[in-house]
Amino acid sequence: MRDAVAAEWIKLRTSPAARYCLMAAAAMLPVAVLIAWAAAQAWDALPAGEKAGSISSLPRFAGWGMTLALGVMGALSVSREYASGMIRTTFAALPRRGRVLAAKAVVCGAVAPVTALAVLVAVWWATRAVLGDRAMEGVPGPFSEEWWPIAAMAAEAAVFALLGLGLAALARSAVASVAALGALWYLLPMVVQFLPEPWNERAGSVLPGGLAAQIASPASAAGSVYGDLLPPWGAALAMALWALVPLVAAWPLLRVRDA
Amino acid sequence: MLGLRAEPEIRPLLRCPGPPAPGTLTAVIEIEELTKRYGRTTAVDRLSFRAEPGVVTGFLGPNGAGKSTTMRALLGLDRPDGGRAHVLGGPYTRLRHPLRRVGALLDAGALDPGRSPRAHLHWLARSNRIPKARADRALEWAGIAGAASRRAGGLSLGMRQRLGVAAALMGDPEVLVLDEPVNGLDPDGVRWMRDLLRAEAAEGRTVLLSSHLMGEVARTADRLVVIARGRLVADTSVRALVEDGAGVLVRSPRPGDLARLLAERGAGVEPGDDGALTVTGMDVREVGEAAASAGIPLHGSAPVGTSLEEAYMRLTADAGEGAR
Repeated sequence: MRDAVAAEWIKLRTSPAARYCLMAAAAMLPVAVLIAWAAAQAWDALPAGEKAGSISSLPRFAGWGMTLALGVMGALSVSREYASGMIRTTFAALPRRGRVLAAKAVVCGAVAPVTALAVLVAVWWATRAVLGDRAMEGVPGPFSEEWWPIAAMAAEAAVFALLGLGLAALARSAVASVAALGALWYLLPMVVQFLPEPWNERAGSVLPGGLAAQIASPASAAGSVYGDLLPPWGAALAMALWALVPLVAAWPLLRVRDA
Repeated sequence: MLGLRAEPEIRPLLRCPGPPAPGTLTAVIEIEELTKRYGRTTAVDRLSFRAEPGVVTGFLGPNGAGKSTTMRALLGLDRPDGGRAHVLGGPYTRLRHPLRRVGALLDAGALDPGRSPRAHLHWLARSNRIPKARADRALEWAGIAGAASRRAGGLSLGMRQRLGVAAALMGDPEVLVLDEPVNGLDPDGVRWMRDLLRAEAAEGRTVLLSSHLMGEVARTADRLVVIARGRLVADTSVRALVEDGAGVLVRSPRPGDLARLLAERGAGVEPGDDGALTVTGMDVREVGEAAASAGIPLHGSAPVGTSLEEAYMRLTADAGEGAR
């Protein structure tokens, strides 16, 4: 197992696809800083007596973007091997296929939250620095208030990476797995809003993108398309299910299918 | 073999004790009644053969005959629908560090096109606890060190074949399984591959080499396993296959008498258009002695071989008709 993890770690470090996904995740930092800067400019342009307004949580926004990038990283770590035929080289080197999947899960499940954590802390620090002491609603609070939501969002990034990995192991196709991931990330949250009451909120509460906010909500999470019905432990459980169910479903298939 | 062989820490010299004595051969690759279906197509149909140490076994068949399927089943990549494909006494999947026991090159394109050859060998080496230095050495030895940092997707097919061979050999395996390894190689590369495989077998390793080209395999292999439409059509030595279709071409001023005489003695005789006879089932000496004993003069006699290519075409064509 250690050999499989070490091999997957080398693969991830030398994979251009993973590098692009990590760069996309890191790009959320300059984007968030730019938004903060534009908001600060707009704020400063307001006449002294009329300074009022809000900004949506920028760590939350960065976390949202990163879940897709890191989910795609997870999906490509498997589907690219199927696309190129490299999966045969992999399974010839490591015939115990379950271990290969587990090793990929360990590597993606560790790289995704660490990356997310680093970017989120940087976003928190940089946007606070840009916005300064402007009395805008939604400016990130001190770290003592923000670390718990940031940690929950890092966990959500891990969930998406493992979800992408599991979907790709099931579908063996980059297009199908990334499309399914994108649907869970964006399309489904948009669609469930229009379900009849109370199903819209019930469905919205269990979607993977809304779970971090139910564990620990950042300073302003208003206007979310997701529901808010789960207790923190329930949201954590739902995270575990989203991360593990596709992987566990793929496991037996992986063993019997032709590579 | 270039540098790799010269350095003991890279390639231990005395691991295999050379070709085993005749009669003590043990099959290292055992295919038994192997059957594999994809949907309604039967790719491999109750195929049985063996490959033994110290010998290059050529695995021949037209495109789509089932060679690659057999090799994938051997490596545990595809699950057989019947029978078994064993290597080193059991299924491949039970080997602990398989790259150190069995070196395989199934598809030179089976790598991430965005990764460099060096990185490709590094992760492979790490997965089977092969020292990184060996991977780097294998790159040099296969002649691709100069391209080791480029994108693998940008390499020519010949370069990728060399990379595949480096990957197969870096673990110093006792068994080699290569699917069409000379595809895309230039003449130098083809020769390099041939010398390499002969040397591997001479050291007592087991080599299974597939190709759809008889000419290439005949120069490299000692034994031939020929399949067509998933079925075994010949399991023979190269020499036997040549001799099987061989005959003697004789010219005589009395072709009618000679034909009658040889036919009486059990030979097959076929008159050609120019008055020459093609005799099968007798060699040049026997034909000459028979003619002398009957007082029939000969103006010339010479052995003729059916080319291997012809023998191969005949074998695979027959099987093709049988399956229809």
